[in-house]
Amino acid sequence: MTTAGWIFMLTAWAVIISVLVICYVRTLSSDDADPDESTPLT
Amino acid sequence: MARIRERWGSKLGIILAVAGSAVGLGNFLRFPSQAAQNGGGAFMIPYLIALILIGIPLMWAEWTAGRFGGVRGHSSAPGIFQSLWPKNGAIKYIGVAGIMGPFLIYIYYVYIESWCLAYAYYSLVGKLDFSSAEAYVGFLQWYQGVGGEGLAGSAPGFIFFLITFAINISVAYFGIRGGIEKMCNIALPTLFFFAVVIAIRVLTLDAPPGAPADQNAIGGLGFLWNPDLTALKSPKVWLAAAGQIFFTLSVGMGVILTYASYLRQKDDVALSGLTAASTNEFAEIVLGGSIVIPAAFVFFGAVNLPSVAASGTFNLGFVTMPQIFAGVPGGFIYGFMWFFMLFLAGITSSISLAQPMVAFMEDEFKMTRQKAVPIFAIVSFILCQPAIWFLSKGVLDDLDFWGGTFFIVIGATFEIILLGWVFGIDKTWKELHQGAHMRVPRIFKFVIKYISSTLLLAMLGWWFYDQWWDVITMRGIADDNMPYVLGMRLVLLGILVVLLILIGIAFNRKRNNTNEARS
Repeated sequence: MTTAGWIFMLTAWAVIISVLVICYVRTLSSDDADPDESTPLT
Repeated sequence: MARIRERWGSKLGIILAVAGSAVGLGNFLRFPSQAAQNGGGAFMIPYLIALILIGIPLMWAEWTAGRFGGVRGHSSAPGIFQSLWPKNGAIKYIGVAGIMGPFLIYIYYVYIESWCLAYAYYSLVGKLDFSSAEAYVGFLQWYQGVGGEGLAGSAPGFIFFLITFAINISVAYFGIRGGIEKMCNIALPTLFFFAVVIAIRVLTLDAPPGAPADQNAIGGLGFLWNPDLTALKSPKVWLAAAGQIFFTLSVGMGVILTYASYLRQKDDVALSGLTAASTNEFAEIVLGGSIVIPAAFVFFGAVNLPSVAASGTFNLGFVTMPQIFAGVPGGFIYGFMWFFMLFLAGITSSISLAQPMVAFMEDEFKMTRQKAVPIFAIVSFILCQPAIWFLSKGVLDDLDFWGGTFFIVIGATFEIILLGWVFGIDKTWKELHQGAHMRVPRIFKFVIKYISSTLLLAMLGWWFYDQWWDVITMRGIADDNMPYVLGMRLVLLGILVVLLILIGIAFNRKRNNTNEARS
């Protein structure tokens, strides 16, 4: 694997994994709205 | 009595369900094959650009439109499009793309999904013939009933299809929270666990005895990632990247519209959408890129790999991978994990493909789920049969074109124009940020309105210019297959007409009821 190959792969992995981790941390740390709240349909 | 609208049980529930819909066979088979054939690491440049300019904006647009329609009692594209443009009486008919597209994919996808379940079973009980490449191909053809013995070989295939179909219908029957959400909460983590185990095994493979020392997994990663920057000059590479992004995120199908419609007005869509999309990208880029191509590189070497990568999605999954596992100690376990992982990726997608049609019956015809799902089951079971019995006659490929390309591009183009221009980008932006747990960068306002819509229109225009006549005249379809493909197209036309009539009836009835209530 060339140096450029490593750079492309590790950069892509780093971006994806960083976004993934940030998204899940923020999602799991934010409150869920009341799951039992239902809206009647008219 | 007022009906109670179904809801997701948790935020994570819808994220895993949308991610499950997006993560499919394409993440593990199509992506590495496309990347390897289109410039390796350089493919990631147009891929990431397409992700930012088409995939992510369309994803946010769909989540926003879905929740907007859901709050107004609509969970499928006709009603959602109508609620975005209430003054236009025709727009609901365009929404047929958001029901028809996923339905067409469903009626062949379930069959392919059943192959994965069958192969997982055969791997586990040691019934896969590992003796040679010819033996794998022969087994696949026997299983599919296309190996020269007519339909005789299809009996096991049909049994596994029945099992898979029954699982899909059962999940749909138990609804959003009791069926889809519960299933995805188990299936997605299991899928990722299996994928990580297989990826670790592949990345620790050494060169086979007698092979050059650099014919190892790292060399395989190099085959996928070493950039060929000259590939960027080719429009084909850019189109391949845009196409991959389009299909990997499940955007344009109507599935995200339906899933997001079960959110409440104050539920977040911005962060949830990005989380689901990044889950899909992790499965595709990190895991999908670390299994098939590196493994094939180790076993077939750099010389043979281009032809292996170009051999197509099904060959990679069902012929190449079993061969590779045959050469690994405990290969039957890895074989089971591989095919069961593909089965889980498939079923979390197929249950999402069923939902728009079921939701259409529930919302627009006031049916209960207990009535809508059996109707869907009967109709889809009948329509699955041509894809199963006439597999070798080109029927499946034609279904894939109409469901997996045509209706998706039509649906996505109308969707983005509807939100960016008709509903208005300012209202869309405000709607997107209702209850949002993140601020979407303002540049996306410009991207959604101008860039994404222009690119989608260009893709649609190019497709009409380049392929429309060949598709209509069935150029490239073998003479022997013509009657089968033509017959299937007539059936599809019939389904389209029936759906358009049903949309008309449903909305006329609604309008009459509203007028009666007013008077």
